[in-house]
Amino acid sequence: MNRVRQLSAAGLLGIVMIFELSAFALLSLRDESFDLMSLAFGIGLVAVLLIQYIVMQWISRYADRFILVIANLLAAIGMIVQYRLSPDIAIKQLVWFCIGMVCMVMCTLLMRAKRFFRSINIPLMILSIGILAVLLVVGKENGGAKNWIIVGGISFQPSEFVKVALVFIMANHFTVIERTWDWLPSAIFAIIVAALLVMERDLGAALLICGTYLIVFYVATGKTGTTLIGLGAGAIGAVASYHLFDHVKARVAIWMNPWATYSTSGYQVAQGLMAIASGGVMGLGLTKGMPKSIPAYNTDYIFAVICEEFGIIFGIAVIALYLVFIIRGALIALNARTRYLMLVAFGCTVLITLQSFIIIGGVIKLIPLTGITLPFVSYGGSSMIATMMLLGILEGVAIQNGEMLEDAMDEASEEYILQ
Amino acid sequence: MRADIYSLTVSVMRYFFVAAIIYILIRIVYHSINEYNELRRVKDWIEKGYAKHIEFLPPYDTNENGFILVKTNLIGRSRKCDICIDDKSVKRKHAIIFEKRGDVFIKRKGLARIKINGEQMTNRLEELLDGDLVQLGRVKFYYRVKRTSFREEAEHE
Amino acid sequence: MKKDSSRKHIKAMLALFCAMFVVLSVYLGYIVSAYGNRWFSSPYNTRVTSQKNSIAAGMLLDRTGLRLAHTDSDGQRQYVGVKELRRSMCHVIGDVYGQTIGAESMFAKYLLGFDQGLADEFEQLIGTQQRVGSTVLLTVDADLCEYAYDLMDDYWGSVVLINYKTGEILASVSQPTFDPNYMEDYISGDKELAASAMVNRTTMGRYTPGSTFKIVTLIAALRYIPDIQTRTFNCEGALVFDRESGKYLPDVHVNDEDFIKNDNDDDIDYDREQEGAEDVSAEPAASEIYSIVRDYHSEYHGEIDVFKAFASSCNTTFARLAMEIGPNRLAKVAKELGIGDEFLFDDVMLYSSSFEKGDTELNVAWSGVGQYKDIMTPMQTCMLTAAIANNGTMMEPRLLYKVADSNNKVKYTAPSSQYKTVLTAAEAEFVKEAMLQVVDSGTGTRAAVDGLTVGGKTGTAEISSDKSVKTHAWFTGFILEEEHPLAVTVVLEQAGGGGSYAAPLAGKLLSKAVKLGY
Repeated sequence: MNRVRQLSAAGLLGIVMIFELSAFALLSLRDESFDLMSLAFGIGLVAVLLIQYIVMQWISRYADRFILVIANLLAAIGMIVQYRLSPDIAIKQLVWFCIGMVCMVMCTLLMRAKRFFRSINIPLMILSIGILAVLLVVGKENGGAKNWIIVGGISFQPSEFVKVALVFIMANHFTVIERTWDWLPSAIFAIIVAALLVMERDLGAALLICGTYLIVFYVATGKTGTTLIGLGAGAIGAVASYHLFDHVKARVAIWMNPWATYSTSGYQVAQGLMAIASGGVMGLGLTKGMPKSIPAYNTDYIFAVICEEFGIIFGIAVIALYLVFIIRGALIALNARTRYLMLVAFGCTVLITLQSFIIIGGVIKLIPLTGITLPFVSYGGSSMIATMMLLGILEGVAIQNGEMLEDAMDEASEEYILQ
Repeated sequence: MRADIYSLTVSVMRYFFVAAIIYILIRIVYHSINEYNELRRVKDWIEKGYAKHIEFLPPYDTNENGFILVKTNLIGRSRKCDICIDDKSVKRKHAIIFEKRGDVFIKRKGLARIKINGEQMTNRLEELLDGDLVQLGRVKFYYRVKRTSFREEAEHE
Repeated sequence: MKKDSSRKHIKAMLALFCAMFVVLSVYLGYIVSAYGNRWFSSPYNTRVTSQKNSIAAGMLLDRTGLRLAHTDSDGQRQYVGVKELRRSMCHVIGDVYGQTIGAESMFAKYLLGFDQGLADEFEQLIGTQQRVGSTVLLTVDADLCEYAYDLMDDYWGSVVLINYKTGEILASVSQPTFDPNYMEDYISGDKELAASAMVNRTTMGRYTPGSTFKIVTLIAALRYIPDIQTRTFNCEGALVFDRESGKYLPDVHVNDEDFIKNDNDDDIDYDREQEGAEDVSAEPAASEIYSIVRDYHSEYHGEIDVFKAFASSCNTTFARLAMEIGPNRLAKVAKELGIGDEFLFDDVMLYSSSFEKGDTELNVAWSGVGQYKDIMTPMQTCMLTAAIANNGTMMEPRLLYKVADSNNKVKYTAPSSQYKTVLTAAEAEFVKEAMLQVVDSGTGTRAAVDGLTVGGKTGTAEISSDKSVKTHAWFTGFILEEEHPLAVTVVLEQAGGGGSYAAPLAGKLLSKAVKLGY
């Protein structure tokens, strides 16, 4: 029995725990009276981290521990900021995080059922399009986008789950490419989904879906020409939407100069920039900033809040954490046993990459702002659960990679002993 | 006054938070790089039949014969060791075999006794060459670079 | 081998992702270092206002240590007691209500203690008094500001004096002024204020530069006309252009008198004092067919070299030079000299100047002598003059001198930094020589300072085709001697000729500054 040697992550877990607990200890002293709640919340969060880690290790020793820790750390940073802003929201977020964890474990286990996701390909497609079409009629508007639906008192955002479905649909259609018909359905699916999202004015999600589809398409087929045509079509679509929709025009104008329209549409971006500038290199200190002056401070603009209170270095470290997550995700895809698994893992990675890039870039005014959540960090039940599902899928692929390697090693050494 | 102390604490903690996240980041990157390198070695071994490994002579040639060497390998009786030998004559931490720029070295731990090709090792460090017979206490093993070298030897005999 | 190619593409995409995230980090660092201070100081930033509740803003001093502003025991911001001083310094000081951009907002970071480290915080925790922000020393000298304010009399405009070696702003006055003590009343409307009194004309006043812009044309000529130093020019009459197409007509000569009489002339001409009675003739007058470029006071200089042309501010010569250089090269040189740059200085919020290419020969000619659509701020003109005096290196203008803690121990001295090199040493030498002649024997003789060598350039800027509106008077100059590295720019709105109004003021201010030891 050969085993791939792994370094211990215990020290890493320890420092993550100290980080989380000290932040909550600091928050518990914020008011005159000692806030026991905060400390309890911190301990709860650490417990969740440990449970998550142990469960994943119990499932398989080849579960990628580092992306798990990164995801957990990012979620913890998110919840520290949420708790500092409003404890109620943070508690809800923790509940969502726990639910997300269950979904993650389920996804990981389902990945072992090798043909499960391939067999539900068509239902997934119909369901995704159906729910988005229904949304067009009954959806609730929130912040300009009509992308919410309320089922049994709980509001959720179906577009988040459509992203997860997209990963499987793409992987299924790209696994074997001999004729155009093999991949065309997925392209039609992506276009319909993107069109529905644009109609619901959820531009961020539409951009994300199109971008992910194009990148995975390029990787899977290697058709540079078709990809460029797709890119061109996307660019034409972007230009067309610039001329068609006033809100797109407004977004671009804000991006060019948020200060010109400070009192109206530029307010959010300008406030975000001021928050980042006020934070400076080391930040103002937890609880010392004024993040509540930024609209959407606990969802889209949470990165500005992090920069304000923890500083630019911390902000860059968060970006680096995402980058490490992405690199590890891509490595999992590269090591994958089958082409299908490779495409699934890569799809998940691309989604998280583009999502974090689009929103961080929007907040720091590198690209025009489109409202989507920052994976793992922003408040939002659907977003948290969907992102945790992506994480679970990646872990599922990683586990299969490790087991495959172990098998191969055993096989090879057996062959060599038999000699 | 209390508010002032709190404010000062917050200011101090800023440095801690930044230091902590940078430490976490560096550690994750370091671990990732290590893990990546080891995976590559293992894959090399599988694909090309090429790996630096050690093989124990009887009576220790159990099923676990042929340990593939990673970057650093602690050998000893302790369960914490990377290569664990259950024999009284071996110290809890007996030796370290490590690789540096492609060359493999063996390093004694403390006053442990090691023989290489029957000769007592006097230096703290010794380079291992393909086919060297290393003896820790009563336990003997060969250091090999290629799997195929073993096959060829077997054929000769 | 589909599989392998996919893996290769994944690697390529991974590289792309890495690049994207590196760009994110670098851009985040970049925007904070480049714009951070400006965004932070933004009057919209509520964090600054809220900090005022927990900390008393620090003192604001001039470079000699004179207290310009402090926070009294009731937490009220108090300004220097002498009214003239207060008024002369108002634009430099700014206000705490976000109405103007001055030291109060630009240096809020220091004044409100955002720069204080752990040690400061700890020290103030032990002491019982309220937390106080850092003390900020400005580079300006209050005496010089007050003196410049007196000299300006009631003219609106701007005076700025900088040290051309370090970029320190020694004096900066902008009229009209406001009284910082009554800011609340201005906001509530209890006290009246001139409409533009809160605009700091030194940095935000976008003026037509008039003949001071010939410095730019001269530099362009030096770069693109090889024999400029030896060539002679014949200035014998106005240059005539076709009125419709703006084409230069070298063979046409007109009588100046026709143009003087024409009141409806919507092109610009320099002569105001000979403004005569209206006389509409039946047949189309020359002024309806032609437009002309000619000289101040309709003087003609005959055979002159470029130095003489510069010293006597000969419009015809420079209009010809501008046409010869061409609009594209002229625009290129203007850009190289920093005209049109967006400045991101830490200490001053400087609006950008602009130069637009003339579309017709007439407009090119006018743009070469500082009319058409040329726009310069007084500060930028002063920076350009300073760069010439400083052998071609433009320094970043600085207002922050030192920062001290509440015990008056200096903890930070602002370093001087180069903005960019705009001229070679040889070019600077040439322009310096030309500018020295202006004060020695040209239009700027009244700017001379006893015992020192002064160089400069006058300007008289047309601002309206309405002849009853007087011109803006400009003077920009420097002291050659390196012991007194001073550059000054004066703009007096609607005062008249630059040589007779702005130059004497500049001369007096320079000699005062020299007396004070700068």
